[in-house]
Amino acid sequence: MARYGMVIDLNRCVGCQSCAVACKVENNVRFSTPEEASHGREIQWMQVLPVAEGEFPNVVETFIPVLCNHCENPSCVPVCPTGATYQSEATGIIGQVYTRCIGCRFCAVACPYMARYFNWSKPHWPEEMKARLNPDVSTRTKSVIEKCTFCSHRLPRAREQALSEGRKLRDGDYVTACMEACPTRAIVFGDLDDSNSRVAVLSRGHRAKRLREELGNEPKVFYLDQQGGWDVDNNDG
Amino acid sequence: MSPRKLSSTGGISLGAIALFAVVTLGALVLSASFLSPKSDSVAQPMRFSHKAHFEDATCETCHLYVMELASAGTPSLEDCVDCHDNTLSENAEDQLEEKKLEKYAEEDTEIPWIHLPRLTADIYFSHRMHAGLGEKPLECKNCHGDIGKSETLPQERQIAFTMSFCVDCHEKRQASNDCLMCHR
Amino acid sequence: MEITRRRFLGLTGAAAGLSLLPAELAELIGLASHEEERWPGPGVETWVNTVCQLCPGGCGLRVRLLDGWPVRVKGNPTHPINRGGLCLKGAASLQSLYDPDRIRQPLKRVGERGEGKWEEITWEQALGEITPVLKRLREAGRPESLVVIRGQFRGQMEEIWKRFLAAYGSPNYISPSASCATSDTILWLTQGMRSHIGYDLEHTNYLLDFGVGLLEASWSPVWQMRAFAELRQGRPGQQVKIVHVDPRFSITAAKADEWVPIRPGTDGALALGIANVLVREGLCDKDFLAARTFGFHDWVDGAGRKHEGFSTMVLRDYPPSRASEITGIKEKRIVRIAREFASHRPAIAMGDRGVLRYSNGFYTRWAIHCLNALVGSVDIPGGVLVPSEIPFTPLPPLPADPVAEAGRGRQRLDGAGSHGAPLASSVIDRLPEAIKTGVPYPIEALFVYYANPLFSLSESLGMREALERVPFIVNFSPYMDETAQMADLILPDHNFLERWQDDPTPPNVPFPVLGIRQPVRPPLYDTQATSDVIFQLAKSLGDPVAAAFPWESTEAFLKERVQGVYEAGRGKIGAPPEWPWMPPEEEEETVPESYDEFWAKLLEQGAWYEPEYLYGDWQRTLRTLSGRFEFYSQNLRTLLTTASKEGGASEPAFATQQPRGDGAYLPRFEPPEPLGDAAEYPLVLNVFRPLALMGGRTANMPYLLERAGHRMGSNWETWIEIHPDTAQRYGITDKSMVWVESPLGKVKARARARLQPGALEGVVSMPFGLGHKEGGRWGKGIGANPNPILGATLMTVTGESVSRLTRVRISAA
Repeated sequence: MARYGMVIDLNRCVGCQSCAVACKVENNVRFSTPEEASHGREIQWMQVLPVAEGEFPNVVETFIPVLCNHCENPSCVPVCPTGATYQSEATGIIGQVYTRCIGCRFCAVACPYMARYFNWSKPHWPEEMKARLNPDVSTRTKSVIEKCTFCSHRLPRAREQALSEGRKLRDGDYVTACMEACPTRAIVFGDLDDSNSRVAVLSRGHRAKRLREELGNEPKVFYLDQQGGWDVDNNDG
Repeated sequence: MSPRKLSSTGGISLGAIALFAVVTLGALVLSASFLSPKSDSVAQPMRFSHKAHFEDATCETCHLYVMELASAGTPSLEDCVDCHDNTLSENAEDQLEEKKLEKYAEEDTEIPWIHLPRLTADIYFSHRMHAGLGEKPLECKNCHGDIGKSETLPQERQIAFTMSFCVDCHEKRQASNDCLMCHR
Repeated sequence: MEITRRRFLGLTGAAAGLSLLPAELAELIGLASHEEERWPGPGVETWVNTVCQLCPGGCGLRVRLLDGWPVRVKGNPTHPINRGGLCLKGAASLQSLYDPDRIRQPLKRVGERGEGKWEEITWEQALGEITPVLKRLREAGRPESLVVIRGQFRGQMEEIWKRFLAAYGSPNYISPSASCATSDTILWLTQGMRSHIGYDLEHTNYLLDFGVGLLEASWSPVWQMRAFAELRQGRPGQQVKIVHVDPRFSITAAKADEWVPIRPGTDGALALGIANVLVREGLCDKDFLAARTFGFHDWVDGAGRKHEGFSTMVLRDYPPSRASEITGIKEKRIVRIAREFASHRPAIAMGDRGVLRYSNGFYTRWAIHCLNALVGSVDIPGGVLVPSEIPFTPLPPLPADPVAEAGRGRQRLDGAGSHGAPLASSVIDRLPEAIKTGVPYPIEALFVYYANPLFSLSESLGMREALERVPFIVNFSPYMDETAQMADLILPDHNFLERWQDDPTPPNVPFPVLGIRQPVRPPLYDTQATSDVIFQLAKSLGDPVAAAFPWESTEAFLKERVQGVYEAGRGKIGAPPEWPWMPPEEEEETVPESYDEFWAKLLEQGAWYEPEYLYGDWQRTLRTLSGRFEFYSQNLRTLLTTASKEGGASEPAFATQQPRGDGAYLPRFEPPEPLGDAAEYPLVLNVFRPLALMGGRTANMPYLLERAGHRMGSNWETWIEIHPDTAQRYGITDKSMVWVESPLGKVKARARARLQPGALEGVVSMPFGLGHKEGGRWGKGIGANPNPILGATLMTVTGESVSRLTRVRISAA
């Protein structure tokens, strides 16, 4: 049994959105149209939220990559009327069976992290791109909910590979596309139950926080605080 | 979590949910139909006997990737021609089919085999995992039945690959029934 | 990190998307119609390493192919630039390959120029159209009337184009973005080297960064981000600080330890103000100044003439009070930054793009580099380095050819390198005028390679009208754009994933690196690598031009040039993977026994590099007349004096404003002359480039278009960033549409206002990269292009084309 989780170091994150795009490529997430974007109907399993505080010139801005938190106590799973949304026992990952989803959007409303997205229309891939989407991940159609899966389609393959080499799954065998792409190594993914894994070590550190911890959802995405570092004397400038 | 029963909708028990459940159930029944083969007869481009091939070969000889990849691989024209190099069999009927093959080879076009309905694209199934790995790998016939004995290509799947077919076997063999391992 | 649900709703903009309107019932039940998309083949997986070319950064890519078709790109973990990471462009790069609007075969214009009517022709026909034109010009003894405008290029493409023009007989190789090379020019002035400057960012303790978008559009974004993130971690027992000077609250500003907002175009004054404090308070590296610099103190030349040194000049002219007045930064702060800079060595001062944008960019850049010398950060770990040259096999000499020699000896059409623009390699601003007047000679044929001047240049220059007068235009772009639309022939290049090319050390990177771009699969369409087209053209022209190109193909050419790297026996192939928690597999490092083995390993690993740096090799890194770092540039004096003599002038030549005497050979601050009256146009336009839109060739990639403005909540549109108070003054509300208007005629740009509490009052920041009038289905018609309303001018001394500081006014639309 494993319990997959992620640590994102906000001190390292430079808001480049590489993770967000790598996620789209890996998971065949549709791109939006200008019209959809203006209606807030973009699908972005992972997005980088800029959180700015203060006024000129004393502004602090943090970039927070936000994705499904794969909560231990998810709000989305109990409200799903069809069992399309589930919590995987073997991995702790919250998954979505698209063929079971009836598009009621209860889960999207229930999710405190706004991490679930509804397909308001058919995806608009031109033939040239559609033919070369990643065949490891199915494409979603109109009227189903989708969200980050922690790239769970990679897990069976990683297991097979390990098995074929006659060994157990190692830390780093199964990683997400966002982690792979991150240029600053801000994202670390792995098994929280493996106490020696990189992600487990980081998640235990004093800088590790989770979003909206007060809700008791027990998210499995941890954020390492942006470090203050230098005290800038604001009076002189 | 193992496949959910539709009744366990958690703490919220609104009428709306029940309605949705009914709608879904209906839809699921409908959708199940596309997993089972259609009854229209399938006209393949040429005759193919698994049995005849089985005399000189194993499954792996032609389904090249069955031990290595998720897909077992439909043999390509090149794979066919590898063995069928101009030598004709004695049987006149077979010769007729072999000439068809020659024609495809001359024209360099793949044989347009018609595939029986397969798993939907949202299911991950790995031949490698089932047949190539682990202590007790399955044999092809566990799922594909007696296809090795058939003289023509079948008109329908000998075993319908429904979810219960998979789940039952997984239960019996104590393999994981976690949704995540198959649904993607 | 207190984030409430409401905050989330606001931030994600998802509130509207989630309104609980029931989808149509039919759609709800529509789940049974789940489309069955299947990969047609068995899905045999292979990986090929290549190098990205969506910007000059040179990141290694590792492309995943299924049955030979690319389906995903990740970073190459053994490439020393990116070590497995990617930026969002690299991650999206397959969208450039599978762009449905790529030009799929050669096109010949059939309608009026610019009308957009094309006929598909074969390559044979296409080359058959060009060869006679080129032959005719040479036969008429006018090969110089062939002009090449080149945009983004990497590696040997530059050599191939230059060699082709030299062999053919034209000096006219023109770049639309020459001011990008100003940093290189400054290195030549101060250290006498022709090279890119490198920064040892990984080991510095204080980074004072003037307008370099380290985390946005800059030379090698991924390498810079990696270094930046490491710097932010600090080091045991050592505080590390990043100070970012920028008029705009950029991402780099947000992530720096300190952001110093500055009035646009005044960075030079800040640098000199800091220099003043360093000198006045005795904070300089005295040993370095004494042993390795020239012109710091006043000095006497061989003829006994007294010259003023850098120290006297800054002490007199640039007290922090004056710098404060010019820049708008408090004096106390300037003093503090200077003290920090001196006390946290090794410290680096860097400046690029942003500060080079205005007419004073040359002196500004020079002033910034002098700060490095003041604290002894030249050629030390954590300082400013000069990566050694990649030891390519030298090219064979050109065959003797009087026609070509006469042609390439003619004056350039844009006047670069001559009197008036002595330090410029190109002055594209002058090209339209030269075309229109036919002085010094008429243009007969124009080749455009990866450049789109009709999009990137100020409209005031009249490039469109000029192009209309060119008798014959060939464009090599794989995508339709504004300039390609004006061509007579389009000879589409491959996508970068389909071609052979090398990718050498990007600017800013301190170690030599050579990546190899190789085709990951055969080309999708009937396109050809432009380098191969050049080889064919040379052949069709016959000797002596053909003799200058003895190579069969680009691949053969590349392989020959890289052999020199093998023979030099330096460096290594592939960097150790950087998965921090997985020890690299114990693999014995094998030294290739033959060049073929070396080449194969290079293609497999993706890059060669040389991690070791030889410090203190002053004979290499200080090659000025004095053999020292020159605050007072003798190179510049010699050059300007010579240029003026050639130009028949009694005074040294300068492009625009005319500094006189010794002051010209020391860094100085000149206020940029603004376009527009302050009363009528009260705001200053600050154009910047988001990472997603950097480097061109991304105009039609939907994954990037929808991300470019994500930070400001402006996707698929152009936005402006203004301070809320500025907005209020002009009656502008957040998320409303605005007009941005400069004095340049009636050109207006429609954009959406985004109130940015971090914005500097009185400055309107606007991104460049959107607003294409021509192009693919996604990019065309999205957003607005600020460049046409920007003024144009020439950089002081160098004479390179730069923007003018442009004043604007805004109003609600």
